[in-house]
Amino acid sequence: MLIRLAFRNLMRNPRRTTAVLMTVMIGSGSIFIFHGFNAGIMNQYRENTVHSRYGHGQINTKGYREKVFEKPWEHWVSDWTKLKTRLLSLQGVTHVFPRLEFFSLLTNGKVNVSGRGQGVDGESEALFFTTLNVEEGVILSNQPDGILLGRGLAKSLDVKQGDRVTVLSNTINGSMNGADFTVTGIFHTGSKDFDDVVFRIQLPEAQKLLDTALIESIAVGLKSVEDWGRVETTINSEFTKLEATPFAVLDKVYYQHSVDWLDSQFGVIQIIIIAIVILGIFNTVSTGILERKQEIGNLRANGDSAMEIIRMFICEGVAIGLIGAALGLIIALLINSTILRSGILMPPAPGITRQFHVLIELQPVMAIKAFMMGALTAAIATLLAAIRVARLPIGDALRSV
Amino acid sequence: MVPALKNVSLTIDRGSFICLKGPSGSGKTTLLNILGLIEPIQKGDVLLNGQSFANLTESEKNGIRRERIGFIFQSFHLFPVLSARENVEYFLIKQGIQTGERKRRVEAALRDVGLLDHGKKRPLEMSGGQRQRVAIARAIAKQPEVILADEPTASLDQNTGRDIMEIFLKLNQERGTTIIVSSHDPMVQSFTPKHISLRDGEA
Repeated sequence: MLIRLAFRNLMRNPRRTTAVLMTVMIGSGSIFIFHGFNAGIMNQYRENTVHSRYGHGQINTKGYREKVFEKPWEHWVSDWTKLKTRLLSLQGVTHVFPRLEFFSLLTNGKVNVSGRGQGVDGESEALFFTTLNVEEGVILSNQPDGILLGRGLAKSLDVKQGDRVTVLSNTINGSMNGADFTVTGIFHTGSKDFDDVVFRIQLPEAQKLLDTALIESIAVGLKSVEDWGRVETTINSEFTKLEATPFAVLDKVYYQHSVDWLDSQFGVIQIIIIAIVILGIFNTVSTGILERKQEIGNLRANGDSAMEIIRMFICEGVAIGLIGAALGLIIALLINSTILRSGILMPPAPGITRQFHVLIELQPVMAIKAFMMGALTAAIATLLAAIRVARLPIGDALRSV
Repeated sequence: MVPALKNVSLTIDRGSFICLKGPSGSGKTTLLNILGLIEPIQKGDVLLNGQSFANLTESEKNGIRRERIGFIFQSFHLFPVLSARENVEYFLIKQGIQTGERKRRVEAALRDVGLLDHGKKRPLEMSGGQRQRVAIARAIAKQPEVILADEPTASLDQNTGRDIMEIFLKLNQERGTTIIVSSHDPMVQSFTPKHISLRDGEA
């Protein structure tokens, strides 16, 4: 009967009920879409981070990333082909990229510039690292003497695609070594510090230059981010001298901070939406409740406590909240499958120099949250509106006009 | 501050049918409200079957209002969204009465006020007299020890008001329910064997 009464009371003033329904609907629909938009942006950020530099994670010898060594090669990975084979046998692991990083001097015959080289498996990395921004020429793939230069480094050397560059470096034994390379392309990542010093050459060329068969790290490409746990467990249990680090830690400054920042922003906007919805409902519901003072007086005269009156109004608030939130979710799904089907075109984000489409990624858990939020805000607004009137002296409530 | 009632001391026997009479502002409604635990007493006490109303907790007052007192108001105070039957049933649900007993009481109350065939109608589909009958049915279905009716015929024409008073009289005579009615209408007063006159808050 209480529930029946709550639903019937909603029909007392259809215009007012519609206004409250619309407020809840817009509120929960907005939260749902905004949550999906946020997830879309975060996924874009994640994909960009994974497919531009780091892969889904990296494997080094234990403690290597935290310390600076005088002879870093003493901490490089030796028997890496066995590790590569084991990693590739794991479910979800699609790519394994051995890498070697070293410091060197680059020269075009006129200018000498110091740089940080990365020896990579160009052919396989070209297939995975698809969001590295090559602004001139092509990505390093199967050119044995190819070199891919960061934008700032190329500018310092004043070279373009097809030019020759000499790379000089110390071997791990301390003697000087050098090799000539042809510029295949110029890239940028959005990070000036990185683009001013980094260049990429084929891994065998880097090993020849350093006179070593070792590698510094292994980057891992996965089918899905969720597969990382398996890699981490395998490394920890089977390769005790190694450690696996996920991309979010490797790129804390760009990725993790962006995610944290977006999360906080979402939280603030969510609070603003909830506050607007509560205020909107509160005004409308207050008017309705004030008009029912005599009814409240009658209920109290017949033994209802103030708490029971509040409960009755909350019942009505929750009922309208549930209907409004459900409508909000339906409208949000409709908008997402029609107007926003191809996503929203966004300007370049930090670390990315091109526009990108953000798809609104609506997930069931977001729907549940938005739904609960709609019902809860309606209940809170009703509670705030009902609390004062429910506690009126019974005589005053009965006498009110 | 002017006291609404002063020097009022009276005993109402079980099964009485009494009219509180007096002009507007004489304190009739205030006295009824005090008897019904609706208004607080600043000085003095009310005893219901020997139980003092002084020092009752809010929850005890709610219990007395719910179980032992039936209220009828001038403006009916029915739920417009519920049918006559549901209006009568509502407070029985609040009393925790089981479904079977509830249905029996609702039917008996509606029959007593002559509205058994109008149970599905909502208040807005009924005349003023019918609405007041629903309010009476709602009060008697609770089977209270006392019914307090504040100006129950004031919103009704004379004939309808007379019908309502006949229902009260029948209830009092057949069930022995104590009924206290407030009114300044001589027609109402003609139905009640006992009158209490109030003037400027004094009985």
